Amino acid sequence: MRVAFVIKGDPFSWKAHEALRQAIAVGMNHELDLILVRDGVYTLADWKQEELGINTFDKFLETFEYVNIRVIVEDASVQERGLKEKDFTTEVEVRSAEEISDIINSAEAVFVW
Amino acid sequence: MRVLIVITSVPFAKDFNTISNLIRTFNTSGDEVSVFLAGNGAYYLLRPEVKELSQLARFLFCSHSAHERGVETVPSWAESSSTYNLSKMLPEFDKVIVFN
Repeated sequence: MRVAFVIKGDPFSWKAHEALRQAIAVGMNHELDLILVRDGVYTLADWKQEELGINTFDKFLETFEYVNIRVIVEDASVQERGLKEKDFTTEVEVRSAEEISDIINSAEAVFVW
Repeated sequence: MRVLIVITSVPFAKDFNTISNLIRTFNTSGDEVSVFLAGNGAYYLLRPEVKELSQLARFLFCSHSAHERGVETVPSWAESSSTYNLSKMLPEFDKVIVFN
């Protein structure tokens, strides 16, 4: 089964954490596209949350290689925020809005965060 | 049709009425509804009115989320589950609707 998670909000709320937690669970059994758009691209950027006293996502990132998760970031969202591929804490695929639209369209379940 | 509603938003948000109406409407049209409570959705276990909805839908909840939020007394109409079980359940449904 192909599932898409779309994270569009900034990572300062509990949603990003809950989205990653559920993504790991879903990625164990299905092929998951974790799509970061708008401020959601900050979620897996190196924003040093530990300096803000926020738990890092390291424990999630460590499990990414054991589950079927592909991380996709939208090119315009990344460029608008001055981010580059090297600024991310995990391997990402940079895609256009049109490509992301096709990916979401082919998913059998879509979770938006 | 088999419908899964995943809720991670709090029960006092705007979604509560939408979800209640959706469950009633699906039920009236003969669809089978399951509701999975995760994240802040675990607080649905504390809202009294949800018991009435449990007559119309099967309610499951992420026990990790409930424990993290101090929800220790669990009503009889809710089944303890996990996000891993949620992952395993997904293919059983025709539609998945997420509120967060």
